[in-house]
Amino acid sequence: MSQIALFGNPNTGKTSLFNNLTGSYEYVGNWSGVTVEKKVGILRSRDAYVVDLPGVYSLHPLSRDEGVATDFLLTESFSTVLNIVDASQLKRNLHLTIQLLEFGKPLVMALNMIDVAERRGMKIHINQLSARFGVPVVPVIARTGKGMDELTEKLRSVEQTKPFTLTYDDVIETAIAKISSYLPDDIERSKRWLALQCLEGNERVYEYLRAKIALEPILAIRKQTEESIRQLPHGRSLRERLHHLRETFIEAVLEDVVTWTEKRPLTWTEKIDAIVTNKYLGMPIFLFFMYVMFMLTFDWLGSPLADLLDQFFSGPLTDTLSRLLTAMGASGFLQELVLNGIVSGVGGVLVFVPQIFILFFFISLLEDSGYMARVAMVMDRLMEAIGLNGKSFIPMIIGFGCNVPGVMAARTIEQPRERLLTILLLPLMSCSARLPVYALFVGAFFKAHQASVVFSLYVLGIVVALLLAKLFSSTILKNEHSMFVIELPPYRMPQALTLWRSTWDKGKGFVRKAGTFIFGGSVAIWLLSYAGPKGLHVSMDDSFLATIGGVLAPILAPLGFGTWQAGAALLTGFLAKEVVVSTMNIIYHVKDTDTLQGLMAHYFTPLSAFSFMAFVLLYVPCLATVATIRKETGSTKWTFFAIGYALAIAYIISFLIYEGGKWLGLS
Amino acid sequence: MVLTDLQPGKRATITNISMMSDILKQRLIDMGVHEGEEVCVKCTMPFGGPVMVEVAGQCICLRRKEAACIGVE
Amino acid sequence: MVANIIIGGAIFAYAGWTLVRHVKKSTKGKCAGCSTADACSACRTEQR
Repeated sequence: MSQIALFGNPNTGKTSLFNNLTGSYEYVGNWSGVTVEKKVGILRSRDAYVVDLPGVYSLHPLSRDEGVATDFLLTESFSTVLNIVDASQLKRNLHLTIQLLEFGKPLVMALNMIDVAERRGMKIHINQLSARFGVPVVPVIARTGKGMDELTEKLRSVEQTKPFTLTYDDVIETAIAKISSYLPDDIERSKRWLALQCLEGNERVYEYLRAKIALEPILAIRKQTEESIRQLPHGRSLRERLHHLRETFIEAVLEDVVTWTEKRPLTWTEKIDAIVTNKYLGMPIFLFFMYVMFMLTFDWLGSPLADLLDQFFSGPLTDTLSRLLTAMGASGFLQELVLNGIVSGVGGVLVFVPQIFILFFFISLLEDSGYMARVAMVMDRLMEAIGLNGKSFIPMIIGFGCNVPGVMAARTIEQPRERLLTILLLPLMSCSARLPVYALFVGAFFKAHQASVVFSLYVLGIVVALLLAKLFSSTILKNEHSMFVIELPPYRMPQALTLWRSTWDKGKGFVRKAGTFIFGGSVAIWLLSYAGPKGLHVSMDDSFLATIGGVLAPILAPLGFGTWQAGAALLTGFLAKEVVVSTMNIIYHVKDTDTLQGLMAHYFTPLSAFSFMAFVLLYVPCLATVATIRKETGSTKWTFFAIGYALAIAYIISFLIYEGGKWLGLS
Repeated sequence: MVLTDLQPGKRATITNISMMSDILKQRLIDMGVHEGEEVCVKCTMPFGGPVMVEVAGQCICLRRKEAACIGVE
Repeated sequence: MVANIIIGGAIFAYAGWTLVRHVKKSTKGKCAGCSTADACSACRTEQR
């Protein structure tokens, strides 16, 4: 089957278009850099693959995610380019279109956001645009899927007509000719395109060519051209000159293609921005938003719902299962396995599904509305002070959902050291898997202040991350020149359907995990607590689990929770942090959260409970996150560093909380 | 004068972007910030934080010290 | 008794399989081990 590659500027609706073309439900958001890796889907008509790529402004990449798009052009074979163009930013978008046309593959242009363009007073004549570039142009509305049939039709019928050539100036054309004649004849990509990208200084193209030929002659030509260009009246660099010549061409095209009508006054994006990015209100508004999120999750809505679920699990469900098992003549062993192992372990985690969905709903809201980029802007001053930039804050917010995509999202950060630092600190962001642990403990020990205690933990994670960022960036990871440039997209009214889908997609992973891995984990943990060195059905304190957890207990004693139970729970938590809750449920032999919370009062004081929660927040990232850090940094050394510093900092902070709290007379 | 001297809400034309670092310059050029384009400062963040500018109908946020490298008229 | 063995066996087999799969997927890194994988553009190729 043929492959269609989807290219476009960041945040122009590529993924929305992809979803509508292929009928899949990929994740979309309203900020630059939602997509950081390529994604393959199948066209609805089932006769071609569609590849969604990260958004790029040009084919010359500055960050890791942009490199994915250039590498695709260089290494993959595909038949057609689908170029999505934001009509309201036509001038800027067409720069990429020209570079894609120079690449020489058949191209179809999908013109998105015409409504926004019209609101800005632009009237675009589609037929003329199509004629000027010699490619089919299809107006679409990517969010709703309007225009998909025509687009699919064009994608299937498009053929290479005459190749598009933009003539640059004499100096550049001479350079192109020189480079082209130097390139070997059997090269698979368009020579003109390669020559132009070499002149742009595209490192990925250099790498591609270096594998085939010696690069020095090309670099010499480039240097010579650069010098000739400098001598021109304007004294620009070669890259600026190329851009300028394209811009001149595009402006000439737009003269014919766009007619300007009256501009409408102040859009509501500007009105909202006047408030949320206000000099003084910006930060407080963000904190207020976060606070409302926590209140809803823990106090106002989440907890009552979780209680209802808990009652259902401990009451009707357990009774029914128990009766069913008896009726089947199940042995005592099986009864205990199901009721004490599975129902306690899996149920104990599932109870917190409402809270997790509420959290995900808010994260989706943040992503879809266009507020995300504003948060980066509001936070930049603070992040700059600690050696990061505002863009690092976006992966951190994503990390509140799950650390793994957070680590991936760090790809959009241009500076390698800032990116590495962001990745290393990301596990300190409290992900949704840690939420059940907090919910369990605050329900038991901080009934009256649930939301504020959990809020304090999230803040603790952020503060520790910021302090460590400062520490690392001024010692082991001294920063090269830091930079921060971000596009602020127009606000978009989040659609109920998109929001729901986005929330559900994130949340269902949690439910699925409960049915698979947490189920398995519960069975294993139960077995470890049921069996011991002396045989089966031993008392819990003589079980294997107690033996294993007991090894850790003395080490944990200074932190206030030196019991084998805590040790065992923390050990299993490395696989996935929710399992801490499953383990506790199983160990304490209870069927519902209420009883567990009552029983826990024997083992924890409010102070040691807080210390324990802080420890769970900060200690080792979960297995999946560790593996992702390994992949994304490409370094075993940094991966071990991430684990090591997290353990150390968790121990220190919990120690300070517990001993400090005792010293202050808390208990 | 430079971009940071511009009063919020006032418009000006970019005259010089050559003072910036290469990577930043490329990023801004890609986003449509280049000589001859009209800019408008929308707002600035406190404590020397970034500025939000409108260029060619889109909003871009960049740091103040970087905005100070953009000559305008 | 037969029912006991069948149910118990099924539970342990399923549990073992999920554990092995989880560890395998997690150690692969990236989105394979991630709970929000379906909602995430980052994982993509590995998923399907």
